[in-house]
Amino acid sequence: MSTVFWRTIEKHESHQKALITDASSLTYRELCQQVARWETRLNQVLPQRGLVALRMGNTPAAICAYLACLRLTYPVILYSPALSEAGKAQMRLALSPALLIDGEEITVWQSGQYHLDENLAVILTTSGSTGGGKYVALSYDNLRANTNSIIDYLPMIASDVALLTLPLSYSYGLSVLNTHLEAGASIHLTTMTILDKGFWQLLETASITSLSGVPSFYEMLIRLRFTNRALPQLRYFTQAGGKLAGTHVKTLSDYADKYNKQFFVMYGQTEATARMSYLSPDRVSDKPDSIGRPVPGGAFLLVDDNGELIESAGVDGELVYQGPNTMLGYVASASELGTFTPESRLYTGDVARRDEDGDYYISGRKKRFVKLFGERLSLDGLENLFEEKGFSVKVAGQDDFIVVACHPSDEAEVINQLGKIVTCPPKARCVIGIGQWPLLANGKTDYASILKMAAS
Amino acid sequence: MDNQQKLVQSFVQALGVEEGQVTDQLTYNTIKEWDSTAHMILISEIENTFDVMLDTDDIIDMSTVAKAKEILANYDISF
Repeated sequence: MSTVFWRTIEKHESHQKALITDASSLTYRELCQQVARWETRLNQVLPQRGLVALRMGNTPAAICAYLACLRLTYPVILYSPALSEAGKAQMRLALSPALLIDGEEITVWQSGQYHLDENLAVILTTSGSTGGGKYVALSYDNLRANTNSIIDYLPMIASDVALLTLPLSYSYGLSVLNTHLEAGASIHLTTMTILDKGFWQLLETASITSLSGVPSFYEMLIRLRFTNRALPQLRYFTQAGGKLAGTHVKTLSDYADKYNKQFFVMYGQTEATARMSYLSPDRVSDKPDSIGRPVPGGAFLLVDDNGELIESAGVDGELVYQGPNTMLGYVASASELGTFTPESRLYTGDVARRDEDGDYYISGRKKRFVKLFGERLSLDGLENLFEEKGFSVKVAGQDDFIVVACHPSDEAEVINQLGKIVTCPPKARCVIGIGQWPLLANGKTDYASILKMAAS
Repeated sequence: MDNQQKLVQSFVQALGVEEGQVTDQLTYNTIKEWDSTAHMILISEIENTFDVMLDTDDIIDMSTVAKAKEILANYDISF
């Protein structure tokens, strides 16, 4: 079996910086020493393979503990530093980890052993800090396969310095770490946000060669005139974690062309370790709404409501992924950690179509379609329609009712537009003006709250 | 509406706060209504209201109501 980042870290140029923080840095040699120290510590408190819960902050200590767990083959739950006490208690009850690692501290939670599938490597959650999300179990092979596919298509080199602003407890952030460790490149961890002056100084002076971010990150970068900066060191940047409006994709693609950079629009889910597809940078300006094609080693299928394969282009169906990075499975309790029988297909819950060239487009979440008086309506599609008309809206819905939340000053115009777009009776639709979208802990829109606001 | 009122209204609309809360001392990240997301909404509200295009430093520096007035003064908007 080929080795992967938790082993390759020993083989990189020892003076090359592995981790850089706003205050200090760690070379690959120092990283390996720290990881070895963690291995020894963990081995002392837990001599046999056991489940570890690790508070996965964006810190060198957490990264070293994570790598030590992988090297010892101790499965590790990477939980968000923002996880509430209630969420932590729930995790402890559900999965019974043997150890808790928080910063430098190791706490033994229970010494009793129970059987853990030999392939189980990492457990991530699909919700950030609230808890109550699903636990996704990933294998060593999942990590290895996805790391290698990503390295295959991204123009990553050992001299790169990636700026990491994404949380490491989130699969996208974790994949940035894993791939750079595999490539022997540097990861700059920062606690600064786009609204800190230091963030911009970092971009200008710290030789950052790549960026990664979710849609809101790029929306803010664009608003802050990111595209006026030449940033000669920056070679490429990636976007995932939801749909960035086509107009923004176009803006970033034009920027990339002008300043000789590459812009990758990508698609994935934690259930696929991280990455499932990417759009080749040379097609971004022609197809700003596309998620591109499967990553090396992966394949997409589209299936209709009856589970039949859709062969023709341009037809909507549920997007199904097959590849060596599809998870072991979901887990809800410790008893399920003993044996996994992974499904070969991952049903993404996204509705998509394929064009004649073989590029894919997401139409919306399967659950984000409602049947409104017989009319099948994509709530995501409706958001995009408004976006094209220059209105930022969030649309929530259930089967007999939709709510369009908009900025208070747009309310009258949105009501007017909505009447033109949908044919349902006025009582089945409602427009509310709100200053700020309610957000879930993972930064995504809290649609349930929007529905509740409309009801009250 | 004079510029003072317009500015207060921009804050009220963007942050969803009461008029009374919009004092010169009101500061970014000290109330939950004025976080980074709301800040971006506030910036577009101010840009639309006063028909200006703020640059990166202006957007980052606009961390209090008083500071907003100071910055807008550079765009010939007086308070």
